[in-house]
Amino acid sequence: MMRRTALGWLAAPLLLAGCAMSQVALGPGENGDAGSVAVLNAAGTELAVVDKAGAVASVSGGSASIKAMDSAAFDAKYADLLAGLPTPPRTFVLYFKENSVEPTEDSQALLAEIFAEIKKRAGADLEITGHTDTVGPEEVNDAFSLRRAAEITSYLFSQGLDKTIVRIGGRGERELREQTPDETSSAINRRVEVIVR
Amino acid sequence: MRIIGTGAVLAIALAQPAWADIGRIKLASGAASIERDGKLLPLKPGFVIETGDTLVTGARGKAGATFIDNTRLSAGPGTRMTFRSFDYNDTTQKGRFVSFLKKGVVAIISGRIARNDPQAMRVETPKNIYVIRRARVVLNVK
Repeated sequence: MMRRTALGWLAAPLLLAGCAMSQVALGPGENGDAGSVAVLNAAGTELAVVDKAGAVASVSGGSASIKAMDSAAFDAKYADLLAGLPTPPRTFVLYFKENSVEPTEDSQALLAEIFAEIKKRAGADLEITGHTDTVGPEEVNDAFSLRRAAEITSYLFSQGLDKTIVRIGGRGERELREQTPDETSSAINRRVEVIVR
Repeated sequence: MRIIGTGAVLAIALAQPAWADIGRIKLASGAASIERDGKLLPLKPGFVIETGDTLVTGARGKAGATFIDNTRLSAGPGTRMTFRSFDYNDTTQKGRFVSFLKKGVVAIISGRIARNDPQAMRVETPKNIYVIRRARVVLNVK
């Protein structure tokens, strides 16, 4: 058995404190862009920015060291953890008949698919978000998009949707599906998106 | 303009109680719970996460969650993570999400909060802070 010197005992707490460390590994992005992570110290000062897929930054003792890792190695190394990520949310887009809150026939056919998707996911929840085209002032469109979402929500409730899993919102004209100038009527932009999470 | 129908008003009213949600557990196995007001609550899919909750997993526990801005999280064994603050505007889809990873390992795929503001998603650890900007990361605290 190794005998510890007095110096060894004194150094032990310092070594333990030095062991406290954290690490970030940046994975390949879902659509090719890895994005980035800024590494700050506890006071908020930037130590490093990690922006290469596969890079690993380790922080200990107030400084960060970065080493490159093959981005394919990221998926292999963290396979179990990544497998525990929930399924990505799925978006359904419903369009409306002109001057009506009634969905088009094509959109009505989607309703069954929405219910099927909810059944497939354990602990599913829904976001129902309305959108408008660029006709009219922004504040009016914010309110109108929310009404559109509420109409669909109300309809889905009448079809048996669980009321406790729904969140509704209105995005107004912020997220156009078809890019148009202001004050442009567009059936593609007048829509409700049902996002199943 | 069309006047809002009573059905729609009802829909909004009924949707309100769920708005304390910041996210939901989608999968959990082994010892996995949420610590809230000093109590440990067992997890199952659909469990509603609130601001201030701490996700705790045991030696063989794990849990996955999706937040209302579409951020996705997978926590591995031996993890303790507190969702300290979560602000989110459904109309602008901007907000702020700050959590504290005391120990353990988590995978995070950032959502709208990080996408719409590169400073808004932070994970603090006992020693430092990570700012996640539209990325897929694994964080580890020993």
